[in-house]
This record gives sequence, structure tokens and C-alpha cells, in this order.
Amino acid sequence: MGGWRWARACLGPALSVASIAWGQSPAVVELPPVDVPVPAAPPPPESPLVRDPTGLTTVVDVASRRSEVSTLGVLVGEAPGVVLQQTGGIGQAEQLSLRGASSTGVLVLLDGVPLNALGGVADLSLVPLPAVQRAEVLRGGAGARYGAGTLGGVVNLVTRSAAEPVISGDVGAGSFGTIQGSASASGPVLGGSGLLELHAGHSDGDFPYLYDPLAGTPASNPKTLIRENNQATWVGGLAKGGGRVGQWRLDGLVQVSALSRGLAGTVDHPTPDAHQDFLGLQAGLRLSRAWASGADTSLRLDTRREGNTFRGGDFSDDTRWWQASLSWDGTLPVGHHWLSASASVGLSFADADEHAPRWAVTSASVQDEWRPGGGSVSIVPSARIDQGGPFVGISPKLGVSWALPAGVTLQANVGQSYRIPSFLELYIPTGTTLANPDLEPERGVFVDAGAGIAGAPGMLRVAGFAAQYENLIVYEYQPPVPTRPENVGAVRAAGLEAEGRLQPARWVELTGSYGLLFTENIRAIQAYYLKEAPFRPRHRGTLRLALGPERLRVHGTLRAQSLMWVNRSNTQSIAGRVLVDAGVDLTVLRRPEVVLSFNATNLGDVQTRDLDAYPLPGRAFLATLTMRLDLPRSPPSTPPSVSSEGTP
Amino acid sequence: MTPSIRAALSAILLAGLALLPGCLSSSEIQCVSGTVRCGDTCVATQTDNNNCGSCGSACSGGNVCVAGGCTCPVGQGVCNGICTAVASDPNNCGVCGLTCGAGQACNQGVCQDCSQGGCRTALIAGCIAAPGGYLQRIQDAPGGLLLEAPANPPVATFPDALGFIGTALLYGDHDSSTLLEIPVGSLGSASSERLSLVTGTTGSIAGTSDIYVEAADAGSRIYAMATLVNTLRIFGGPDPAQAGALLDAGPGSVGALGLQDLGGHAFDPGSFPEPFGKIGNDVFVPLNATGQVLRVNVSNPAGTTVGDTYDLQPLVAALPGGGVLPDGGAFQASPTQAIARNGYVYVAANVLRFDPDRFVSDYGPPLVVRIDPTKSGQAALSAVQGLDAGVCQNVEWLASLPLGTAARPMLVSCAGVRTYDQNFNVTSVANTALLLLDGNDQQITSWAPSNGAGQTPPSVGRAVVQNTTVYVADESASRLYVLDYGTNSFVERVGYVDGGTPPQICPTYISDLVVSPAP
Repeated sequence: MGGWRWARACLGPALSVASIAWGQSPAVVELPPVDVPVPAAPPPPESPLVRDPTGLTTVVDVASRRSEVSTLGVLVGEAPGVVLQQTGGIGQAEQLSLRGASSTGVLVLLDGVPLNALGGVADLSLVPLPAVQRAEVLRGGAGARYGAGTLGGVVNLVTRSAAEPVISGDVGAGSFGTIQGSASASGPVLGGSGLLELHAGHSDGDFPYLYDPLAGTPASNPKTLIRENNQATWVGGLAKGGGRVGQWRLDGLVQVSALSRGLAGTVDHPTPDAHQDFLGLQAGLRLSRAWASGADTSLRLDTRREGNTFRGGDFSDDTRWWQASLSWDGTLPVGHHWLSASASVGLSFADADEHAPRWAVTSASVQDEWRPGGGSVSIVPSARIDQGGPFVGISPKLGVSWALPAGVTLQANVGQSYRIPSFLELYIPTGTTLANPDLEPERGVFVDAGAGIAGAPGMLRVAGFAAQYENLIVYEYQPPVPTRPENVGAVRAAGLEAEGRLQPARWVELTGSYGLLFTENIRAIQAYYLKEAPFRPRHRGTLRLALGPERLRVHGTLRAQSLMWVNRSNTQSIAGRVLVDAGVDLTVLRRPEVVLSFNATNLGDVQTRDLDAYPLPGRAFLATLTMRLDLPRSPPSTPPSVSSEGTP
Repeated sequence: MTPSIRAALSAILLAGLALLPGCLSSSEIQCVSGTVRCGDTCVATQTDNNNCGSCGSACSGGNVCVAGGCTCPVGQGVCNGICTAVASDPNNCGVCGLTCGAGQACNQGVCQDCSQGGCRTALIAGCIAAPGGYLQRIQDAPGGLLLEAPANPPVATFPDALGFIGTALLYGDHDSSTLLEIPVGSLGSASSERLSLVTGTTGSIAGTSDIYVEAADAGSRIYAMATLVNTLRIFGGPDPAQAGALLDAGPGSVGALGLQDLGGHAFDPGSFPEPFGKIGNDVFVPLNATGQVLRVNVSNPAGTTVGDTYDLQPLVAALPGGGVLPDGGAFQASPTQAIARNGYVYVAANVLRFDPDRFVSDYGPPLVVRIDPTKSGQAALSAVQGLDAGVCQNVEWLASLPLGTAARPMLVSCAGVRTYDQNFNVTSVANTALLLLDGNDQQITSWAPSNGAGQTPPSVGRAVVQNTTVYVADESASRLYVLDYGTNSFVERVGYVDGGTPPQICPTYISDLVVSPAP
């Protein structure tokens, strides 16, 4: 993972030359796209692949598989160490746990901009699936590189590239009244490149589920109920572009998404009239420059605004959250050291009825990627200081990687991270949930080590980790009505993570991931002590097999998860499950490429739930028609930069 | 970019790090009267324990904020910097550090052994301490209420509901959603037999609201109302007379009652069934969320049958003050409990209109519903007449008084109209009272607690009765009043009477209160 920077330093000039030559040969670009070796753009500076070169990162290709799944979370959840937590169906809330840390301790970024809003949780259902190219999942405390809120790790969602000259679109229809579509165009424009993507969809979400609260007793009487008020409608778009300005590169992005959905509530406490309207807007500009020596710098300005209106149910609420930041990154090779630093200043504020907290947010970080003797070993110390409102924290980290012959890589990290309480936890009471302005940050320390091997037939990576999370914020039941967050939780976690890909032939690809997770509640309450943390299954794995030529590809995915406790006493659980998805992609036309995909999820119609009794959909079908027209590549007006493009 | 420019830019940005926090910490909060701004929130510094007198000035060591100053609650002194009730604390009895012996309680600052007689009644309260909780045994001794040392089984968090089968305590544990079996003589231990109150793989908390035990078929039946999962669970158990012996498996060990899962009844999702009344083979279950009472025949727990559904809403509209509100809205009935009494079922019901925008309720007239089980449909319903909304609102609990052989009187607990501060602390309570109705449902007398200076405004909650003594819990204030019933009147024996203070039973909340048999 640590090779991006070094590869760029060594290969940057070569890539530039090759690109010029390639750009001067229009005959080459008329070859079928699949045969054109398009050099992938280097990851942007906020990518874990760049920012945390010794970190254990999994990249999930979202764009090529989005017709297979109903939600973005399902794909991100395939990364080892991730536990996806869902509330049921398309358009309904879903969040991530990573390495046993809660969802508030997983920082989710959209092109580098944090999505963890008021409550500290990032809801992946608010991110439009069609706009995402890939997800980069960095496991382990990442405070030294990404700042507060990264106890379990970071998920960086990267939007689609503007560089490819492509017009594409898709329409899909499926079970439970689902219909969705998107259209996009990207390619050269105004001397640079640009992308415009629009999407919309709707799902009734009225799936059947089994209800039998007396299951296992002599009075068991299973009934099939229909999930009500589970509908969602969404619309949004993404516009981005970039180009060169002298020796610099300027990129910009605007992303907007709107979602209106029913909030069905739990099985036991349905809320037939609860409703949420969401509007999110993100915009950013990045000015960057890279030198052939490998040095680079970038200055970016980002802003994100989210508004939520809740109606019906137990309470009504209007909340708005806004953040803006100006950040700088720079790297400089000095001998065998690759020095990098970053700094940012920002504002974050909320408006929730009469509560309007606001913060200044600042940070500074340094990192030294040192290769003694220029060899294959990288030693990477790093540290970051973050300030958010009244809280200041320092996150140090030391990482090591060793590239061995035959594609073998070893990596190890040790570090500390923390999480600043959210606005919601600190200042904004909602319904019967109180705020607590006396909260302190959560803390986490971790150590991990991994080994990987990559070669022509595939790759395999295995890692182990241990972590301890302290001062965790827990909402305690405080009758008669309210709950109040307190810094009382403490959990130990350890586990193994594995992922692999095997491609013995061009028409056969087997990929898989597995996570083994042990957690222990170390809070000093006898009924909980040394019990497993709830909603943390010990085993979780995914296995996917794709067969066939490009024109007729069949695939099947098996998603397995073991029993998970739902309470701290470890007396109530959700049973383990094995969900099977299957589908076929039929290319009916080559130019423009037209693909008809037919996918079935949860083929076995397994009845299961998640979180506090939210049923998940049973067997569902989705048919998608995708069109893609690759346009001729025009020669670039100026030599392409080795900088990343398209994501400010 | 030259190194010098890079360095200058870095310096500017880093300087910003240090300067911005102080510039941008203001907000635009407008606080309501009686509160001031502390940081980004409004607090009542006269009563807020975390901001007492001024922002950030927190009361510690059990002190409470009264009129902007930290002080121990009335009747308490300071031991090791912590407010302590030396009159009743068995670990600081009379003086700090004096610990009462096993089986002893602290009575007016003197360790006393109730096993030698003189104590009238033992009660057990389910206490919530946030976090956790425990069982609190209370002795009604001649000098007042004696609190024994708290106890809790290691496997338990805190009790949602309590019940007795003989001398075996049944404990509905909140976090584990299980039913624990505890010997009454050893509250800190529990049987390894532990019945789950949530079946299948629902991922829910049971939220037990009631444990009801009756003798049946040379044994017993145990009903556990798992309110949050909308189920009534029914278990078969031993003869109550043998239950204690079954749990008493010798020193240091606990036996098991051998409860059998007989089945139960599943109510509709979201109905929130509450403590029920039972007549014959039928249970009458208040459904809090729907404003209904459901009649269910439970003679066959594996195959219950649903009878009438009674809608309380028409009764509300017919009450004085229960009609259409000025803004066109309407009060809703939310039944909270039912009891069987004199051949009828009586149902307590909150009558209110909840406004989710303001997150407050408007309270309507008091409602107690009588159901005649010999009739069917709505014709079986009638509202108890004559309840004075100027004295009693928000009826929450009923109890039948086992007095004499004639028709039993009934206690009606009116929790009153409450206002809360932003932290849900009770700031005022109006029209809270305990009413006593005779066998014909005519009011005999009433009682309302006076307000002790500096205390949480008292209110009347669930009541349990032993002979002619009524123990009234104020759940939110975690206090307990004791009333003796005389001739058509209550005599307040433990309360704010004569300048006294009812003892605080639990740290934050009394979840249940039961009369305990002798071990």
C-alpha cells in the first residue's frame, strides 16, 4: 500500500511521456475500451492509499457492481473488519462498525469530506450509489492521518472520475416497488475534463417479513406482515470537473442529494407516520500541483450542508448541520524521507430548534515516510493534533511496511485515536434523549500487523489486530423518561481479517473476505463484564464467484454472519445467517455497450433482522439495463499531470 | 512553490489554528425565562445540579442544587464528602462509618434487628440507579422506614418488575430481558434457571411491566407482561407454598423453581400492553398505545382466544372537559393498568394530548373505567363518576384494599400534571392525589403529599397495601410515603408530615414495589 508515492516519484515522468505519445495516436483510442490500457489516476491525497501508506486498506469497486446490490452499504460491508448495520431495505438508514468500534467511531468521507454529521454517525443511505466509484476502507485507528472520530477506521468514498470520455445511463426495476435510474456524461470539456451525473429512484419498501414474538413457545403463531411506511424516494446529482491552470491543477465538485423516506420503526414499535426529509449539499475546490521530483501540494476548500426534517413518530425535529474547511496538504521528498504535512481550519455548526452550537475545527499533522537506504522497508511515524470546539487531542501512530520479493508485503501499525463527542451528544436533546455538555472524548489504542501476497493469479492479505476503546459514550436508560449519554463504556477487541482474489482464468474470478472479531465489555458492571459487545458478530465473511466471458457473466455472492448479541448481558441474540445473491450480466450490444443485468438478493428468503429489531428484506429481484458509450479520446491540450484528478 | 512560500503559508495556516477557537465560539441561543445560557445550551442554574448558581458549577457527592446553591437533601449529613442519610443508611448508621450487621437495618440512627419483632411489613423496591440498579428491602419499623443494605444478583442489571411466588422473588431483569428467581432471604443471589422473556431472534428488550402470580392446578401460573415486545408470557410453576424450599438449596447455593413455558399471547405490534386485571379465565389488558382494553381468554396458554376490544376514547369525549379542545384537537386515553375488584375490571388511564413539536402534553380530566365482564362490547364500559379534575389528573395506578368482607374500596393514584425542565427534571406537579373510593365507587377521602422545601415536587404513584397500611411510591422522586387508613381517612405516618421527610428509596427511580413475605 505504501507504494503509491514511490511509484509516482519513479514513474511519474514515464507516465507523462507515455500519455503524450498515446494522446497523439487517435487510432489507438478506437480500439475497444476493454483493450486499452488506461493508466489509472493516482489516488487523491485524502485516499488512505496515499495518506496512510502502511495502513491496512481494502478498496471496494462500487461502480462495476452496483447493479448487484440494493444499497451502498452492502458493498462496503464486504471489506473485512466491517459490520454493516441496517434498518431495512433500499433508502433506509445503514451504518458501519469497524474493528468492533461503534458507527460513531468510523469516519466516513465523501471525496475526503466527513459525512459524520450531528450525531456522529454517517448514514450511508444518504450517499447516492450511482455517484460512487469505489470505497477505500482503512482499518484501525486513523487519528494520526484523519483526525478525530476514527477509532475503528476510515471509509473514503470516491466519486466517479471525470476523465473518462463516456456517456452512460441505466434504468432498473425490482421488488417492493423499486424503480431507479441514472445518467451521466464525462470527458474532455473546456480544455479539462468534466462529469455530470443525475440519478433518481423510488422504493415502496413494502417487503413481507415474519412476525412471531412467541416463537419457540407453545403459543408460537408465525404471521407474515408487510413492512409499512418503509418507502423512500431519492434524487440527486454530481457535477465535477478539473483542468490545468498553468502549472497547477484546479478541480471542483458539487454534489447534491435529496431523500424523502418513511421511518418504519422497529418490529415491536412501528411508527406508521414517522417521516424524514433529507437534503445534502457538498461542494469543493482543490488547487494542486505535483512536481516530477515527487513533491506535491494541494489547497482545498470544502463545504457540506445537511438538513433533516423529522415529522410524526415520537417527536418532530428540524436540524441543519453545516461545515466548511480550508485545508492544505504538502509532501516533499528529502533523501530517503518522504515528508508530508497538513493543516486545516474549519467551521462546523448546527441549528436544531433553539440549539445552535458552533465550533471552530482546526488540525495539523506531520508524517515521515522513511525508507532506510531507499530499500524496501518503510518506517512511517506520524502524528496529528486536532481541535474541535473545547476539545484538543493528539493522535500518534507508527507504521512499518516491508516489500519482499515475489509480491509479498508485510505491514504493522500501532497508534492512538480519539473521538470528540458529537453536537447531538453534547448540546442537542431530541425527544427523550438528553444532551450532556460534560462529555469527554472517547479514546482508542490499537495495534495490527498484516501480510499480503499479490501476483498474476490473484492476491491474499491476512491481518490481525487488537484494540481497546475507552471512555465510550453510552446512552443509559434513565427512567421515567429520558436517556442521557455518559462516558462509561469500555471495550476490548481483537480479531483477524482476510481478503483474497483468485483469477485462475480470464473467465473465472473468486473473491472473498473474512473477519473474525472478539470483543469484551470491560466496563465494571458485573452483569456485563467480559461479555461480548452487542451487534458485533464473531464471524463475518463474503465469497463471490464470477464466471463467464465479458458478454455473459454470471455471479453469485454468499454473505455469512454468525450469531450476534443484541444486549450487553449476552442473553438475547440475532441468529447467524447466510444470504445468497446471484445474478447474470448479458451484454446485448457492444457499441454502445448495452448490458442487461438480472440480480436476485437473499435467494433463500432468509428472515433476519438487524439492530433493535429492524427486519431486513427477504428475497428480492432487480433488473437493470445499462448503456455505456465510450467516446473517442481527444488529445489533451497540455500534458496530463501526475496529480490525481476529479476529486477536490 | 518555493520552500519560503511554503513555509509562510504553513505559518499562516497554523496561526489560524490557534486564533480561530476564541473567535468563533459564540452562538445565538435565546434562553427562556428562568434559564441562562451556559455554552451552547440553556440551563436553570437555580436547580440544575450540573450548573448550580453559575455555569459549570456542578454539585457533587450527592448534593442537590437548591436555589442556586449545592446542599445535601433534607435529612442528610455529610460522610466522607458524600451526602448521607445517617438516620437510615445501614453503612453510616447514626454516625459516619458505623455499619449495621447482617439482617439489621438502620432505624433513626440505631441499628435494629427486625427479626426480633416489631416491624410491621417488609417491602422490596426495584431500584434504578443509572447505571444499573438493585433490590432495596425496606422494613416498616415503629420508628419509621428502615432501609437494609441494597442487594442485586450479579447477573442482573436492574429490575423492571417484581412479583412473588411464595417466598421466591421473581425479578424481570431489564437488560437481559430474563426472569430471575431469587430467594427472598438472599436478594443478592439468583437461581441459574433464567427464563427469557423475549423469544426467537427479535433483538428487542422485553420491558416487563408486570409479574402476576396465581395458584392453579396444584401449582401456580406466572404471567409476565413483556410490554416492549407486546407479549404476555405464561409459565407454569410450583405450589407457592413450596417455592421457597425449592430455591433454598442449602448454604451458598440456589435451587430452581422449574418453571415451564406454557405459551402466552402476542398483541399487535406497537400496542404496548400494560399490567392487567384477571377475572375467571379472562385477562383484561390495557393497550397503552391504542387506547383500548383487550379481553383475552388464557385458559389454554398455548392457544389464547381474543374476546372483546374495548375502546376508551368515547368515554373521554363524554367526560367534563374531555371534549374537543379549542384548537380542534382531542385528548387521547392511554390506559396504564387494570385490576380486578368486586367482580369488575377497573382501568386507570392517562388522558392527555401529546404535542411532538413541543414535546409536552396537555392533560385532560381523570379517567377510571369500569368494565362489566358480564356484558359485551362497549356496553360493558362506564367511567367512574365524580373524580374531581381540580384534585386529580393523570390517573396512573389502582389498588384494591382488602378491608373487611364487604365490597372492597379502591385506591386511585393520580400522578398529576407535571412540568419538566429541559433535562426532564420535574419542576412542578399539580393535581396529584391519592383517592379512596368505596365499594360503590364513591370517593371517601383523598390525600396529597405536601411539598418539602428543596425537594423534588412530590407526586403520587403506584401504591401497595398491607392490612390497613398503604405504601405510596413517588417513583420519580424515589420516595415512599406511608399512610394508615383509619375511619374514612388517611393518616400520613411517613412523609412530609410534621416537618419530616419521606426516605429516598432509590438513587433515581422506583421501578416496582412489592410487599415481601418473611424469608
